[in-house]
Amino acid sequence: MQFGLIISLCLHAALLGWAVLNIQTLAPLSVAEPEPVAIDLVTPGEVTKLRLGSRTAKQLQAQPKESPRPDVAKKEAPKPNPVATAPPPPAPEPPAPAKEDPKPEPPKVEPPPKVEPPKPEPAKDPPAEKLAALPPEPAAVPPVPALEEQKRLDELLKEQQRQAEEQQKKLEEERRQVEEEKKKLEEEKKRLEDETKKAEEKRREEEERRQAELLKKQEEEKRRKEAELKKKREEEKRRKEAEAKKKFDAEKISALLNKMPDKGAPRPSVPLDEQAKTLNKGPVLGAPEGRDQQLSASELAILAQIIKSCVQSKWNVLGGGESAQNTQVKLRLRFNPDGRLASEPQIMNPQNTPYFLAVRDSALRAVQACEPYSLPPAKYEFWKDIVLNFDPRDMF
Amino acid sequence: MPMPASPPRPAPAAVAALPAPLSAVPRATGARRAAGCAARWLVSALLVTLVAAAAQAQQRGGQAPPPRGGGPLEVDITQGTLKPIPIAIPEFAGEDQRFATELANVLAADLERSGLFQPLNRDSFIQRLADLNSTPRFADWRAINAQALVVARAGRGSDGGLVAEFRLWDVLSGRQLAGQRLAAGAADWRRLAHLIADQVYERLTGEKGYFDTQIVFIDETGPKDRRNKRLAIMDQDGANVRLLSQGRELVLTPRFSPTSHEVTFLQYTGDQPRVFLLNLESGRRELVGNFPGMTFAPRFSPDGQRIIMSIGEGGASSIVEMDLRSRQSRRLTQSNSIDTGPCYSPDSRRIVFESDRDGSQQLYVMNADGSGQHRISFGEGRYSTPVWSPRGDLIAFTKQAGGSFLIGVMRPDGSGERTLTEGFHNEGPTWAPNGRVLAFFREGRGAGGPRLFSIDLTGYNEREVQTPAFSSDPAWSPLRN
Repeated sequence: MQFGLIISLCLHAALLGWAVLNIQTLAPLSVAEPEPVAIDLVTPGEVTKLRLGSRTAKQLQAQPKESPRPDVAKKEAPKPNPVATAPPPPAPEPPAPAKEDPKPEPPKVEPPPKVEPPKPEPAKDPPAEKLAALPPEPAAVPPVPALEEQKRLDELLKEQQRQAEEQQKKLEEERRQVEEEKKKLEEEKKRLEDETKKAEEKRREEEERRQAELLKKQEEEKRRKEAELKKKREEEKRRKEAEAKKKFDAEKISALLNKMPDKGAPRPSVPLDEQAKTLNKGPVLGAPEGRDQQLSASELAILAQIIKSCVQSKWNVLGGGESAQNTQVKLRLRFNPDGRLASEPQIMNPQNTPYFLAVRDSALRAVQACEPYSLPPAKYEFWKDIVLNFDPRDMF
Repeated sequence: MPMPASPPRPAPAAVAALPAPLSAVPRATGARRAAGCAARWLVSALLVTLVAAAAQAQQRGGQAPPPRGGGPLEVDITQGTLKPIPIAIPEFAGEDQRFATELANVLAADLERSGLFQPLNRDSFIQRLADLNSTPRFADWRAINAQALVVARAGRGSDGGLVAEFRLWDVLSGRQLAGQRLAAGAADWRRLAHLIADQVYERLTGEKGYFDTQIVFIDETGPKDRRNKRLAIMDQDGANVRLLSQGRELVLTPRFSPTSHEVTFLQYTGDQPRVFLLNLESGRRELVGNFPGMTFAPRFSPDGQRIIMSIGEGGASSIVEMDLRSRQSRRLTQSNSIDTGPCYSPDSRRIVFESDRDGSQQLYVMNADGSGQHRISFGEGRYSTPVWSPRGDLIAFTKQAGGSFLIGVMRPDGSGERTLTEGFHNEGPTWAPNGRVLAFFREGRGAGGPRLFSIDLTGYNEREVQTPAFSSDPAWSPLRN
């Protein structure tokens, strides 16, 4: 009894505890909001870095489109042949009874359309080179029903043949004539077949030629595009590097001058270059699922940049030396939707050294001087609560 | 499924702990002991989960921001501007309006010269402050882009001395940052302004001030071939210049005592340079030590009790230290090279000096007892006049390279060498007591004579210190008290 009770109690309590935990773990999930917002933010692509990313993504999309084209063409090029060759055999058989029975007539009509469809294909191809990949698709669809129809038709034809044979036996007189006609028809059929085969072969050859030409053209285009892309990318890289260098010079001011007479050792502009590299690494729009976390990350980075650019421009860093290198100030800001501070900034790491007080006050002045912040109201949820880490170390 | 998405740590651990006891239940029905064990296990697991949950709840409620998802966006501010702070310094209140205005001017000039403050034009001020104890209308000061405001009042104290009170306001937040009552002798009215400047500087930069200080230097007059060099002293802003010697003897390299109102310097008696000590209050002058040869390049120890200097022996020189009270001297280096320009580190444990023992003048560091001598400068050119920063983090020096003289700093281990100023002739750096500003003398090509300059550690803020004539060999005093 007791044991059972204990077990049940424990299990219940454990379940309860688990539930409590689950509820707690569910709480952060309410912040799944960022995802829709992130997707919204991709489309504008207003910020240069995003735009750069999307550009490369488009180019990458263009490449996969080109490469599948030849594959589809190759795969589907042989397909039409069996389709085209298959119909003719049924076609010859019906014609014999065709003359006697009205039923077989429809099959007669059927084969020509089947032979015809391949013809329009090449006709369609030349005008629309780029659509070459598209026509094969519709062509690929019909064969399935065609085969089924053929089977049915074959069966029907066999029955009709039997009937015809019976009738032939009965009508021996007419038979010879019929046989002669048959032979003639067969000859005609053969001729037709040969012609169709030749036509098909020609068509095939032409198609192959065209496809080869297309492939060549596509490859050439690809190469050209790739070369252009490379050039563009290199140019962009150079531009970006140049910009990064310019930016670096403009933004990153060293608090300490080194007035060397001879060697003006250029400082390595590593951080920004690295940033640019990482930002331009992959296609931003290339995520298979389309739900890219990078987007929200970059969006947050944009928000951070808006705040950063203002605060840094207003932050008067005074003093320097050893103490500056060891003093960081962490402020927590809470905003109203109008971009103004909702309350006094909260100092997260209060200290009492003179240097800390000085850095803290200069940070507070910078934060207040930036009011009101021009942050996107739609993303208020993201910037209503922000932590700023003031760290002057890099300047000294 | 919420679980994989949830970031907090404790949850997975608790969840992992739960299935095990559950799977143990069917077995428990068989053996009672095992069941009890399992039950205990269950209870403990439960406790763990509850504790974890409680801890988690506490963490949520606490200040610590969750790492991702729910946490606030964190932005790193690693670059600021080096623009000076706009500061409003209205005329002081007081009975003597001229005096009050002068004080405000001295204060504004001090702060401006530091390069860290930009005193605003008084004509732009909207509010006329009459009362020190009323809160300023900050909107009026924000309107003229002031970030800081100094309100002060000055007048005569009951004892006949001068008294000043001030309040330093943060205009943007409306908080008072500092406020104090200061006193000075009637003749030293400028000190009142310097003292306020130090307070403002210290509160806004976090560094010690250096405005209430003096500089001794060599005043140079007369034509170049018969230059009259006299020992002189002035306030750090160039005011109150006083001559300390008559110019009959050649004096060089004065150094301020870090603790007392004394100066040690080099004076030629006949052809022989000797180190002397001068008490600034009594004017008494005395020879330091009794060495057979010449003595030169003196400097005080940080406690002011010893003087370290060079003694010449034939073509070479060594470094000796002399206790001012016991007059006992101690030799620290002995070689066939010229070891000179010694300077203590602020903790008195090490000494930096220059020596040509490796062929050219380079900087060396040794322990205070002369042991562990090692070279720290390895750049091209010749290094001389090393001075250890009062903060201990840097050594300033003169460097001769490529036909020019430059003033530079490096860390005591020789790393991080940086040139602060460069030109035809720059020499003799001396640290302000806060270790953030240096004074030195410069002679431009064809300038006719040297001038004093100050530069801060950033290298951005270089200013000439106005002196009545040519001047050289500056030495900064400690903060006066």
